[in-house]
Amino acid sequence: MSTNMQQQADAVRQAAAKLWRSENGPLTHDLVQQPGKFGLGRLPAGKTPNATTQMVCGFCATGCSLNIHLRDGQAINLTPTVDYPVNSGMACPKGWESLSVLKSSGRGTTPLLRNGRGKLAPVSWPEAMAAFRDRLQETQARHGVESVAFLSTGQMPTEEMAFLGALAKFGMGMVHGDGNTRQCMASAVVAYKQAFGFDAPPYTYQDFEQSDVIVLIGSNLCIAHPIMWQRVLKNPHRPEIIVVDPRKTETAMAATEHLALRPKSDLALLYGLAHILIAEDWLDRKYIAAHTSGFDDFCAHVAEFTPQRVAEASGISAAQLHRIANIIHAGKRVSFWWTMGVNQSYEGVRTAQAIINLALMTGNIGRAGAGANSITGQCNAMGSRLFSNTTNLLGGRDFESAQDRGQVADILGIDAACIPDRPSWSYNEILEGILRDKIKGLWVVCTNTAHSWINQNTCRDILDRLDFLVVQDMYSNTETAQLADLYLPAAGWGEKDGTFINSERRVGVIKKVVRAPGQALADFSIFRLIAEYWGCGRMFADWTDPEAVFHKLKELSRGRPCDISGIADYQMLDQRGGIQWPYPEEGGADNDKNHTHRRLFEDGKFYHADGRARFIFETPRAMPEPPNKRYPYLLLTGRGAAAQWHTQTRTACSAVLRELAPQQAYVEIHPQDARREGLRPNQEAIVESQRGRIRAKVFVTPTVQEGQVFIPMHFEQTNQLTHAHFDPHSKQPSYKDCAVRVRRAESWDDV
Amino acid sequence: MTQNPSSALQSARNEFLDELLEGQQSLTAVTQFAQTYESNGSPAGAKYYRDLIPAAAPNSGEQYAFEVDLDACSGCKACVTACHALNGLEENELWRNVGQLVGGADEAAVVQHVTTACHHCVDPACLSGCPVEAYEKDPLTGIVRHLDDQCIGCQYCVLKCPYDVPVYSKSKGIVRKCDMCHDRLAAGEAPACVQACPNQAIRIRIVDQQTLVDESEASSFLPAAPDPAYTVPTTVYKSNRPLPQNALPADFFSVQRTHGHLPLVFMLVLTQMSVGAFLIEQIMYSYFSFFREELAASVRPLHLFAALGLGFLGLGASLFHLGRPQYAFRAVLGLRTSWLSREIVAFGIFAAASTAYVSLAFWPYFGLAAHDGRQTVLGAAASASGLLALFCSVMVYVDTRRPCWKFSQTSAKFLLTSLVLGLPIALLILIAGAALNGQALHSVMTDYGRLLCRVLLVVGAAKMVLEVSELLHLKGRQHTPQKRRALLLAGELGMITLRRFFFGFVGGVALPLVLLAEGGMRSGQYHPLFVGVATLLILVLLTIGELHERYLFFAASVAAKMPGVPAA
Repeated sequence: MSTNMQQQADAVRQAAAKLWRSENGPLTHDLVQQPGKFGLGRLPAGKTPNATTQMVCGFCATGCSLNIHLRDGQAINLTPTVDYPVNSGMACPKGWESLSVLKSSGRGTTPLLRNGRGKLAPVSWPEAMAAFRDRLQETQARHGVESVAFLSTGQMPTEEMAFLGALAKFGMGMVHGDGNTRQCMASAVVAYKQAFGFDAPPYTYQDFEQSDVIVLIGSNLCIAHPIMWQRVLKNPHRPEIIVVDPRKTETAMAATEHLALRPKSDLALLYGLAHILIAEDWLDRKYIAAHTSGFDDFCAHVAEFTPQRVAEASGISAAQLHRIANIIHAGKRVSFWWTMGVNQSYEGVRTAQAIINLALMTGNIGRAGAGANSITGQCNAMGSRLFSNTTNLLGGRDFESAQDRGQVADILGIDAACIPDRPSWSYNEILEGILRDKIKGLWVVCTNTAHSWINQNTCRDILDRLDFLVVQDMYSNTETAQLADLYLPAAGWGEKDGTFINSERRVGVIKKVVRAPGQALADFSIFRLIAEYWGCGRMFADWTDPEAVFHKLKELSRGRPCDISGIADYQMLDQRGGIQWPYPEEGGADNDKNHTHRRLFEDGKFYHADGRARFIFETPRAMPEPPNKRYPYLLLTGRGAAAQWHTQTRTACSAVLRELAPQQAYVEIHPQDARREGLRPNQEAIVESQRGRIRAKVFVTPTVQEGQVFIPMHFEQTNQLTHAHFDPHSKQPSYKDCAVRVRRAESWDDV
Repeated sequence: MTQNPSSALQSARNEFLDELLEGQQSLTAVTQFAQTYESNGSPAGAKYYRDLIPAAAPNSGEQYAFEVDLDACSGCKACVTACHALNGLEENELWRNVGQLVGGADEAAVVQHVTTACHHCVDPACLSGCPVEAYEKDPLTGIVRHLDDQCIGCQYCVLKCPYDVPVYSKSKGIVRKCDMCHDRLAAGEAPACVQACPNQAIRIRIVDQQTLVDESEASSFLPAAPDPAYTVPTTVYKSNRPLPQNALPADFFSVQRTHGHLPLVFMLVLTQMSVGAFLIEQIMYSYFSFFREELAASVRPLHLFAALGLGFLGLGASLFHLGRPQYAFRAVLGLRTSWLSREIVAFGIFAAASTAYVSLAFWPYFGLAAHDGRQTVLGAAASASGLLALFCSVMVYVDTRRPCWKFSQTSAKFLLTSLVLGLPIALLILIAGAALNGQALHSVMTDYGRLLCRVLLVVGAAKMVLEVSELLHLKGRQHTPQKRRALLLAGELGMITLRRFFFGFVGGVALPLVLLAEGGMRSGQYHPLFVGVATLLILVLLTIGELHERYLFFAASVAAKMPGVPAA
């Protein structure tokens, strides 16, 4: 037999053998990995990048950096950035899935205008812009310039927020505009402003690692801020972790002490702790004397908050209160942290200030591992607080101050007369304004009012009364966009440039690494287009790109507590791994040395004219709608799973995140209550308040207390139940206290 | 030329818009940020995971295993997304998931998140069940790897794995599963999940296999997880705060329907019908002279051909179940361990024997002499191999250890299906034969048909009693798998259950009773056509009923899984 024939025979045999057994083929290759290079480790062969770039995540205020894997400039994958001072190589599921939520059939690809038949139909940008201008100008002509308002967001880059605020108020003559940050941060803002003289969360995340006592109040860090929880677990000092929360959350479970207090007894409880600290003289009297004012009045105020009285109010025993006070006293570096459990309350400002008071009286501020620290919600809530031009004039200024208005006019090169001389109405006041026929046109940008606002049924009814509702969003399928008269398709995170400011005041960049779908435009470009059509294009002629605006923001911040004039440009932010404010140009060498982690008030100087922090307090009030005979349960709302974000507009677009989150609204109820109401696990239940009625699956768990039920806020129906009441100082909605009843769903129930 | 000022403005605006739209589509991050990122170099994240993977390879008798620190698992689920992103999985494909246990009371309430992936078992059920040897347990690392190109997409491993690990991809036609990032470990890198856990709750450690086998007897794996003694999972769940006694999976009280597997429904029902037809045929022609003598020449080939055809139809249906049917022949590879292989081979033998048997019956048509001796032998062979194949079918499901697929229940169901469907075929043949041979229908019916009807009545009723008995579990206090099945049958799948009993009752009870009615058949009041149509109806309704029953067999089979993990 010739060799040729032998070879052929071998080939046939091999082919036959392969038919029989195939360990290597296209399906196997599909998962083969290659070294990813760029310090990335191994990656699927089909997903190896030829460049990488880093940017800040666009979900929450933790502000993790994500390392975007690029192929020919286009993002194909991402991993958390390894050497970033915030997240050190980790991200939560939302961060990991940031790119996949951009691809969705819900994305808007063209402007939509409600036509004669009441349907939203595609129109061109020029048509959309003409409609925007004509309808809103007509409204202003008929009802006055103030009759058009805007709702902004904590999810856009600072440059876009500033543009929106400036365009609406200086260019279009609006007076009223507010942001969805009202729903999450307003109480912290007012608390800080009143206590410190400026809205200034003083901490750096390193404090999580340096404390020996960590007090978390109304914060489920494990679920809401998983990467901050990572920092807690990295703490080498075996810290005491005290969690104050009515529910036994994941965080409470990991705590060394859990104070499962009665809802809305937090203010009394904090005053009770102050009472014990004072009674035992566990104070830093030197600090109090040197850096604070109002302590004596505060002492008098808390005198009546005896452990017995507080125990009655909160359900926390006097002994446990004493133990907690002792832990705070014994701690050398005690940090206090709070989130929505405090802010979203009808007395959120005073509660936050009660926390600040504890830090001040024990000297736990301005030091490593200490502080009274508000953890922010949205990725750029902090940017919004300084530059959204809603409640405050740009740069944390005051609309009512002629001097401040003059400064802003000078910096921006505009006529000071364009600047309104009074602050905006808050979110709830704008909605009430619609009811009172004062507001007839509304421009909602990058938020989902019809889902997230408290007492939803009324809210939707209010939006229906508008003459013209414009919704500008990445997604055309949000509950609010569905109500719009005009929808403008926006590019989102990953499709545009700009900066965010995270919870610890760190400014970070976002970049354009994905092409926006269809005709969607960056909000920045939409604002430029609107300025052009509105007729105020010249005022914004040099607002050409986000970085140009960033330089304006630097000027607006110069000399103020939030001074960022020392940041040269985006490039510098990119190279430094973000920079915390303040970063004044004059700081020079000191800036560079300390740029990675900095905290405020290390010199004991606060922003009030006298340099002192204030003790501020008020008598606690009862909740307006406590459980009663007809509605015997108290409804708590809050975060559900780490894979869900707010109204799920984005997170529902990722198949993976959908898998990781409950598909259906559910209500957590205590086993005793479930028994009393004849509810079996997994049954359908009807939860009813005076305002609405929803269907939810029963989840029986002892993690909620008797007499309380919990429903995550991510489900659209939840806010049909909530009761619209607000903190009088911050106007923040109190989402976590309303009375409901729960019963088994019957087949004839129509919800 | 002078331009209209407004049109000049409009065109300037259009230009501006075009500029913005164009700018939106240009990606500038790379050029804008001139920072040079090192294009080579070792993984920068290694410093975080270096201590989380073993420094050396396992010794003999040892293997790699996941170790999960439950105290550190806060339920953020970053591990799941990292696994998805770093392994390049399909959009809906998850190799890792996070379950939840809930328990305790008031002060000591506990919610425990449990991250879980493949447990790389010491005795993997996926591997032993695979008919094509598409699984291998790596001799060095102990990692249970799936050989994607060897897979035929039969999904038997999905049924076999008590932890619901293998994931079937419809588009690829195969299953895939966690390989512990085998390639990464080989290169000294940590698996994706280990890399991504913010709390370092997952690590890779080396475990001693014999120790795990010994410990599996004590069921110390994880509360509420399937019994580890079956496959000896290697994942180590550790915690300093023991879970409360009353800890239950968060989804304990929810019931999830399982996959209906329509091709398998048809395959099982049709092959069992075929086996039943052959069996009945054997009995009829062996014991009833009418069949042997008068019908043999006319309708026997028809009878046999129908039986054979049904069998082939069933086997054909099974191909639709496979993701990659072109490689179905590989299924003989797993004969040593896999009941699925055995089933396939047994059906092969059955197909051969019954084809030969049926062919022989056609010999007289071609002028060849009928060969009684061979007929008898081949007939017996066809029936015997059919029964063997049916037994293998039973074992395929019994071997998954699903509590609703116990041997007694499954074998009774499958065998009764054979009879319930084999009998009306015989009845139909009897009527057809009578018509062809010019016999008076009522005498044939009186002599033989009534007997067949009676037997059918008993068998049909017995089967439905058996199935109704499953619903008795509804009254059980405990939430056993059997009760879950009953809840599904009565709840989510209620309409199908109702239809199943309707068809079963009309076809298996009501119509046979009509045929048996005094004064109907015996007195010859029934028109022969009526009897024929009624019999045909019996066959059709019963077949539809059995298809429903078999769908419910799958759809309410209640699979085992890790506690609180959403079913795939």
